[in-house]
Amino acid sequence: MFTIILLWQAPGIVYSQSIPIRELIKRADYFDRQNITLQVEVIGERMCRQEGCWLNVNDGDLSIGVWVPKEINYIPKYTGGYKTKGDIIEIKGIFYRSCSQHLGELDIHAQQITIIQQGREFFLPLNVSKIKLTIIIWVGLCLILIWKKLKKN
Amino acid sequence: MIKTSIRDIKVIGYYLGKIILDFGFIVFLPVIIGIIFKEKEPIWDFLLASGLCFVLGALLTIFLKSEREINWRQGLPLVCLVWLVAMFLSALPLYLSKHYASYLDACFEAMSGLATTGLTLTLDLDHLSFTHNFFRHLLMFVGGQGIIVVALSFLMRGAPGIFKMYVGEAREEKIFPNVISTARFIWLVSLVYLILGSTALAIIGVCEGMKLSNALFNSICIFMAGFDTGGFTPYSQNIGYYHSIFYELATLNIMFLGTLNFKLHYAVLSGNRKEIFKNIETVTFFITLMFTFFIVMLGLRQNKIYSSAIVYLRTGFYQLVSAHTGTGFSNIYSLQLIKEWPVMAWLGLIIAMGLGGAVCSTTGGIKTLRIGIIFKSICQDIRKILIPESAVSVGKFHHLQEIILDSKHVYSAFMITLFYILIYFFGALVAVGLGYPFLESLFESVSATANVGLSCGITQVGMPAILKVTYILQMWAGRLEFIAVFALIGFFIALLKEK
Repeated sequence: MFTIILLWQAPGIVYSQSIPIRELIKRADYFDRQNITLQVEVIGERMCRQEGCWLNVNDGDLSIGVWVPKEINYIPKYTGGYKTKGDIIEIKGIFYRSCSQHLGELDIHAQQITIIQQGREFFLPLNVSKIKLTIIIWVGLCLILIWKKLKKN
Repeated sequence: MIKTSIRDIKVIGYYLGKIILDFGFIVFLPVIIGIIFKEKEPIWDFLLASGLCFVLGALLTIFLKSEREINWRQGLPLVCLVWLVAMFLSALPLYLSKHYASYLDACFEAMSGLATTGLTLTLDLDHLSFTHNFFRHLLMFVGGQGIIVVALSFLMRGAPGIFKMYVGEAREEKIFPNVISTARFIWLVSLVYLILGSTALAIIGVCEGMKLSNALFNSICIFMAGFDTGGFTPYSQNIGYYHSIFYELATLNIMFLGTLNFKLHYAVLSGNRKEIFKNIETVTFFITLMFTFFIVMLGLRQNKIYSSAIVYLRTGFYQLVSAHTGTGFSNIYSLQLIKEWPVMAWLGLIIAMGLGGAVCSTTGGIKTLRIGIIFKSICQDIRKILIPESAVSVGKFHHLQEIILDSKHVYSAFMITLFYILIYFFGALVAVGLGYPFLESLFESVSATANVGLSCGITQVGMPAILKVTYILQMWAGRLEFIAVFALIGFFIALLKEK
């Protein structure tokens, strides 16, 4: 019991279970500079700077920025957007409440990235009822304009 | 006694129809974005919504045709109705995106966009289509300048009494003698700044690692939301998504530009650069910004969270400018605001949000002109007590010219300030009644009424419907600065009494 408590309180402890981003931010003082694990979807786009790249990731609730140093060779095939599901990845890294390297940002510095599921593009079927309604409205508009023109003449 | 008649309803209905027809073109614009990004479903959302605008507008103008001059009794209620109808029509394509839990949420988003507030109820914003995202920001660009101003600038040749509509949208200042010329100038300045500002942001975006197409799209959206002091962003992390101090510096400048009176823009562009230093609005803004900055920094130092002065500036100063300009851009999470910022820093932000920027700008809040006039009148009253009885003291203030401070200015400033403060507390009371803590309730209420958009976490999909409706009404009333809203209420009361 004492060992478990000691391990829980010890700094630098590695968390093997994925932590929700909301929990990280809510308890930022507790998780500050700790090794953490996240299982997330890559969203937006990868933005590369001199010493590494920024990834923005989402866990279904909130999004957070992950700094990926050059040494980690990960290029997402798909990032989450309207027509795409981004790569689902597991990130092991260090959480910073106020990162001194990045001028105070709340971020994660990745140490290891594992692809859990590759992203993909998906086909979104069109809503036929919506198309029909739209056509009816525009035809109605044309009829109103024709009627207005005839009334004027 | 106020008397209304069928004639009033006809006039209001006719001009409402004309403006809805014009608004239909705004709703149609995102179709172009949908075509560029090959997003088929969103294209149909906007074709449906714009078609509906055109049909509704056409029917109103045909069946309620009127060439009569608009009077004050018609003009002010008309403006209120235009904004409400625009909200309902704008909500339709947003709701069809399936990123809103209900039509009420879509209406909330639409009003937040039009009133350049920035509070959002979008579900899964990071997966929203480019088309719908562009529309959210376009609503801010249109709402910031004014729906009536758009109509006057581009689409209406003019109508007798249109100045009453212009004033109803919380714009009293005429840059040129003709209100259409004034409206067109406002749009010319906005469009020129749009080209320059988005180009600058796009360059920064590319330098920070974004692809050109994404950098361009984001820069246009961020500029529209920044210059119109709105605060929407394409991604849920707000400005934090870009992880770039250069992007934040650029948006700081854009926010400052947006908070300036358009008459001041005209003066500076005409060569009168000294006006920036003499104008009561800019001087008051500078003083209140420094005062609230002092309060916020004092508060943040209590918790000692941030490691260096530059981090304090990046976080504290950015949030403060965002609050004071009424923009609502944020480089921290609302959870951080709740957990890490002490009460003193919160108070600094609340005061800054409540005060706002210049009149005849895109910003909200009480406005620095009124704060300056109130301060001057207090000083004048103190001077009158201290000087010999036989001496005469005349108060003056400089707002593009020397203006004698008279009771009319002071009365108007006090009245609008009082309305704002009452509505701030009313909204806070509603949230407190629903179980939220007082300080957070006050924060969110001030943010909604002053059209800022910073959130401490109350605004979310799960909040009670009554609070969503309250904030919608606060955003609407705050944007139109109350008089038009009271005129609408008075109009309907008179109509009911007649029946």
